[in-house]
Amino acid sequence: MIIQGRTVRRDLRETVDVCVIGSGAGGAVAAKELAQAGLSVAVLEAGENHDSATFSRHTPDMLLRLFWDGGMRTTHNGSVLISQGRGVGGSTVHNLCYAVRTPDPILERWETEFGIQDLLPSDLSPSLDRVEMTLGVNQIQEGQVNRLNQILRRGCQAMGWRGTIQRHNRGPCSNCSADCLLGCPASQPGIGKQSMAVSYIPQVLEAGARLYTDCLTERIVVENERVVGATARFLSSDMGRPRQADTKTDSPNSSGSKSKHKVYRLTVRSKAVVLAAGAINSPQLWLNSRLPDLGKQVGRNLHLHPAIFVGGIFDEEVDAYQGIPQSFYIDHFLDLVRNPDSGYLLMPAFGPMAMVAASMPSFGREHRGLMRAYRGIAALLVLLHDRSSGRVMVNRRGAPVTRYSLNRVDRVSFIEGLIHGAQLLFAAGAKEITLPYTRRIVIKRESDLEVIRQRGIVENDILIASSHPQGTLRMGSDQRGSVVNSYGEAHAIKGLFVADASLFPSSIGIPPMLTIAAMADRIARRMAAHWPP
Amino acid sequence: MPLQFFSPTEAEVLIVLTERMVGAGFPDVEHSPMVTTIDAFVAGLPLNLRVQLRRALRLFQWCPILFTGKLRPFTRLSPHDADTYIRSWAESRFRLRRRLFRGLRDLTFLGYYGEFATDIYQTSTDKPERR
Repeated sequence: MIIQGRTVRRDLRETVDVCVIGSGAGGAVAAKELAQAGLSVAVLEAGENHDSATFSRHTPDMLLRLFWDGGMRTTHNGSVLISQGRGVGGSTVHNLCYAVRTPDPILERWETEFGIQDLLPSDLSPSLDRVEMTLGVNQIQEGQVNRLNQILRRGCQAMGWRGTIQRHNRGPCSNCSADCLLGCPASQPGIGKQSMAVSYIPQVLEAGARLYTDCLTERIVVENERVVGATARFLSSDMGRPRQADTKTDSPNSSGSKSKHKVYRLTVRSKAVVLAAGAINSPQLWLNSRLPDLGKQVGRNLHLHPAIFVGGIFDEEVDAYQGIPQSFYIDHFLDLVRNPDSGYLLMPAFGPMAMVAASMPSFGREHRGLMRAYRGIAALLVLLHDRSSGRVMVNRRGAPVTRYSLNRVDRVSFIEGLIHGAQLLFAAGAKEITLPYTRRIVIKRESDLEVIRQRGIVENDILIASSHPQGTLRMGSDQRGSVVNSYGEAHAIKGLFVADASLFPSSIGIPPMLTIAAMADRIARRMAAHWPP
Repeated sequence: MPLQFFSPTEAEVLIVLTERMVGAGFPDVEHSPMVTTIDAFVAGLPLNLRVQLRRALRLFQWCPILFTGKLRPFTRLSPHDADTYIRSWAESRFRLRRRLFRGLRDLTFLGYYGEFATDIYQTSTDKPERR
């Protein structure tokens, strides 16, 4: 059953076994496993329940509907743009469906460095298998590889680098385009993008769970070191502002006059809470709830997988907006066996026109000249497996503040990645390379690439984007160096579990959706097997 | 359509800013729904972001005297002076000015290019069709 917060006209109370906060790659999976195990479950989702048939190609509208802060969330100094999904299905509604299994060296490192138990590749494999089955993960076929990805593969082969066509959680889809980033209008069970909203959530509801949408969790409630529930408020359809009741008044506002606004609340009593609101909002909620933080690790260890756009302008018509945007990627520079904590991927990149415009340098006539080449642009992202570590805090109003700066090693890696990306595009036939610096640098031949080293990576001088924040409530066996144990349960609070990318002890270096989902599957199944907590 | 968030003065700044950011010669910036698009988008943002954007626009409008010596607001600069002024923000050694340039630039791009279908250049390179 779905209860839409915007239609609620009174305070509500709910008593369940488990309260799941968030309905993305972690929350949806945990809710399904727990509900199917026979536990009563309430899912609290801050965003709306999207009807995919209403997804439009109007970028501003879709940014507001699908992303936290309308896609304008950034680090504290504006140097990294952080995209995070908001709404039923979370980021799986707008992501581009790479379904990559957790690399073995990452899991092995987590065991040796962080003391994680029962999470070796053979331990996680059954969860990955289950998640892949439910999401309908399958190999992208040759006929589905669009022109953009073909061009990048051509460049990769010319350079002699390693790259592969990936697997996706995507069913048959006849009209794929770069607008995939704004949600898939064709998405339904078995067809189009298989987000959590059309794969797991229907099973969550079928198993009897109650899904509250437009419902922003404000506090996790703990008594005597044991979680007892959560409180939330219902939101209007417009981003983050309390829903306005039509008549009744409540407390005076700051000017002393009676406000006409009435905020309705939800109080949930539960034996367990699963926190799966993402690696920014989960620590935010933890901090706002003033929960114990034994090792002062809450919000720390933030990794972002920062990425920079490298565009190639071709004489041929690429029409990169047509077809599945990402299917091939180059992992030649991510050798996790030899070096488990650094490297980068080169991934195809394209998007709706406003996003491509934002990824181009300069402004005015110069920018317009680049946009005229829109049909001939093939682009990639350098996605960094970052060593840099940031922190999520909250300000006086309880809003998240994300601090993150690239360290010297990562800046050097980025420069190397940009140069490699440009070399690949040249090898594929590009006549010019563009980088998202504020001032355009002209790169028309390989000998021009040295200018990237001279320009460097300076904050707010080049657009850096992130879609994979992780690590802010990390797992570990040492209570001083981590927040939750190997099974996702808080060291200091009985019954509070974390099941999203906040868990990761380190950056994982690859698109994280499948790992998040598999970890949530593992945690939820263990919860059910050891019930009550 | 009435504006939800921006004042008429702020809307004027947005129009001039978009003309300069997108590039002179693009059709119909002044008469496009660009401003109402940006206005509706900003009205949907959280309060802190809305406040920041309003401050940024005001700063941008009134700072030519500080950075160019011109005793005019941004909207009264000649096109050449306006471009020079914008470039001074883009290439500033101060991080905050570069950040503000990027934020305003991308907002105008969102308002302008977000109004068009992704494939506008499939049929024409000069006259985009609205969706």
